[in-house]
Amino acid sequence: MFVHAGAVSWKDQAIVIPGESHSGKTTLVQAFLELGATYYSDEFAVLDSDGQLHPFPRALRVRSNLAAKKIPAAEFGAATGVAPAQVRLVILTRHVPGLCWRPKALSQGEGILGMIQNTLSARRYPELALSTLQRATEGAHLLGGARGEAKDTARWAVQHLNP
Amino acid sequence: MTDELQAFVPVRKDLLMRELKDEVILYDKTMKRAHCLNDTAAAVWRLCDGRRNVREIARVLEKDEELVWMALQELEISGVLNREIPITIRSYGLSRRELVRKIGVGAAVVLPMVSSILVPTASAAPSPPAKQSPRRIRR
Repeated sequence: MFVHAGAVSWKDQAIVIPGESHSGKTTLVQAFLELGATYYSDEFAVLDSDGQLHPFPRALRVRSNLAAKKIPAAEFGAATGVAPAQVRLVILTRHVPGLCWRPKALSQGEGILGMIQNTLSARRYPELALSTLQRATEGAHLLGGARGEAKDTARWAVQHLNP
Repeated sequence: MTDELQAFVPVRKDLLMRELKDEVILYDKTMKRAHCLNDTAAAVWRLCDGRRNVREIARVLEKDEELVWMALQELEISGVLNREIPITIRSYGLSRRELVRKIGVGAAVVLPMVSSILVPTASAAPSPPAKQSPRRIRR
């Protein structure tokens, strides 16, 4: 299942950031990479039938002004994921300048709704989408809320993610 | 309870369902909507089998009838019931504030809640490259 999302892993724990275009996924992914996370994607979280994350490691599309540049993850000093990773954190957020990151814990159901909104082919394969998202979110922390600076959000997330 | 209220027997729609630990996810293939029912709403929805009225549902769940009624109104608004609540009794029941006052401090935890979203079409989001078209990945 393809979920429109950024994805990284931190100490073998996958962090998934669902969101539509221009929600700030790539910026947040970049912030995680600069902290030492492993790159999986800035566009699609690819989930298997067990809910595990697989890499889709295209070059990051970093936007500045009106243009987008393709920057490989290696240029941020980041490794690229090769093995599937268990999802441990889902962050449903969008960037609002000047805001402080005060995440709200979401229930598994709320997390699934947030992710299904960004799941390609959910209408065509609803059973598969729901079972995949259910498995992916089991045991994961699910957080929601608008964020300010990506660096602050990423730092908060890695500090709160227990290995 | 008036005769009309007592006569109303809710019937749930036959929807794709996933049971979570404390919630239920429903997917309506016709309306392309996904719903998340909290524990209370899910408990009421499961008993909407076309055989029980509100009083009987409340008795099975050991909950206030007003709470069951509130759940039914939430479920009807979300479109997961097969039978509409008659307009003559639609406004029956207490408001959330009144129910909290009646049940007490713990009410906020048990009030029924249904969240719904419209599941977007595939064209609403960018597609993966052709060679990576959506497929089921098995480990």
